[in-house]
Amino acid sequence: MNNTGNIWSVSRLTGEIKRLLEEGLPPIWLEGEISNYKVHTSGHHYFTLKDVGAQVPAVMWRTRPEPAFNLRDGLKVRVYGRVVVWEQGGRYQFDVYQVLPAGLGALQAAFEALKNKLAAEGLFSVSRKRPLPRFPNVIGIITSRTGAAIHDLAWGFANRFPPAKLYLVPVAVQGETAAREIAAAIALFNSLNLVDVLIIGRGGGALEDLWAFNEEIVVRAVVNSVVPVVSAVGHEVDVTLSDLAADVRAPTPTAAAAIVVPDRKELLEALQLSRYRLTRALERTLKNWRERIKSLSTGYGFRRAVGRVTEERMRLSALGQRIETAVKYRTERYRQRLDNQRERLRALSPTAVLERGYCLARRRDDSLARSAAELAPGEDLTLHFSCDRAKVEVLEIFLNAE
Amino acid sequence: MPNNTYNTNSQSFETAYKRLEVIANRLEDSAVTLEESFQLFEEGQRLLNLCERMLDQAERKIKVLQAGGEGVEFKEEPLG
Repeated sequence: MNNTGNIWSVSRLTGEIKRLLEEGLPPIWLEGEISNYKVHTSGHHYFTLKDVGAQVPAVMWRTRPEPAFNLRDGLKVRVYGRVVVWEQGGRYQFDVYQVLPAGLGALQAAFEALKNKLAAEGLFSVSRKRPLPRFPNVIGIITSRTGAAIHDLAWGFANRFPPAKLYLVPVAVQGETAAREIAAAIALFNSLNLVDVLIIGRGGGALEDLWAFNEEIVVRAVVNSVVPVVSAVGHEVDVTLSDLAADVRAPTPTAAAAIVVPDRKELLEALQLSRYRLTRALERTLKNWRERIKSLSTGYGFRRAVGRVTEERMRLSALGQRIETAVKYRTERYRQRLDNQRERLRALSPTAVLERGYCLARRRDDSLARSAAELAPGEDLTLHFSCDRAKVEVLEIFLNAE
Repeated sequence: MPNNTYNTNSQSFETAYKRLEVIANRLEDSAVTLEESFQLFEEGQRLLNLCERMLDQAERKIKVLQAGGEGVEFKEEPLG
């Protein structure tokens, strides 16, 4: 039973595996899709070749002929090479001698098909994109509770913008249930009317790990979200369909935090600037008012006001002068006219006539003698001079006709 | 009992910050009366202090949805 001859060392087993695989499998052409593609600093290419059912790690040493096209994840290729076993690592891998393109990988083809379909519906249209709130107060996060993404996001928000309140709906971000959970979480946040912005995401991974973010149910949930959505899916593939549908795409969760909230330091600086603005504005207002008051006493306005008063007074006094002159002139004219009238009246008075040497002859009955014809010789008359009288007798009558 | 009251800050940072911008603009307007200037300045100072306080308070907590139970409940947990 415990025959020591039957106990193998690990090295012996591995050596046997190596011999079996390397001798049993000749160099072959292998077709598969590239994922986890990396170029090491040494210049060697590392990637995984996979199909729907299996995957095999592959390496292409720097010394091999450089491929005629860029290797990248999702690319379906045909490679020529053979299986080698790395004994120290206990791993086998495909040693690639040569790479040829083999059209689009199956996943890539599915991705392109869905992308074209949703794009035709306008779901990725730029006009659908909504602006993010400037200072989101409450932020909803949809990612794994245990992944690096939630750590990066929470840390980023706490440091950049402490007022932000964070709500997390934990979901699986890969695997069978992931897409349904992510879509449900988006709908949940929308029904709660709780958050100002939503972040969906996960850390980096291979194309198939990020696949949930390419599924139609997730893309449609993003599109239907009333709350703006930021996608923050790791950066190993170019883009996911959720990235295309989201209002803003962040290359990583850390970048998402920087996009969604302003930086505390910048805000503090802005507040400092506001403080300066307020103080300066108040100072200027006070200075303005001081100057306004000052200009009231010495300024043009005040001088103008004083000048106007003087002007008015002068105009008033000039007017008075004119009225006085006019009144004087008129008085003078009236007086002269009055004197003339008086002169004329005087000239008409009988006394004035008598003064010039005439006299009136009155008969006994005191009536005026107006012609000799009405008199008789011997009749008494009284001659009235200007200041005295004399009694006379008519001696003879001389009638005019004779 | 479903917990559906999710109180955020009674005054959000955004509200305070936007009001602050309005005040600064108004105060820089030369048409403002002297009395209004003083009122605006005082309100501005108050908002500045509030905003700075908000930026200085680090809660470092995250509310995580609790599975199960009635309604939707978030439980505060320290940042991961």
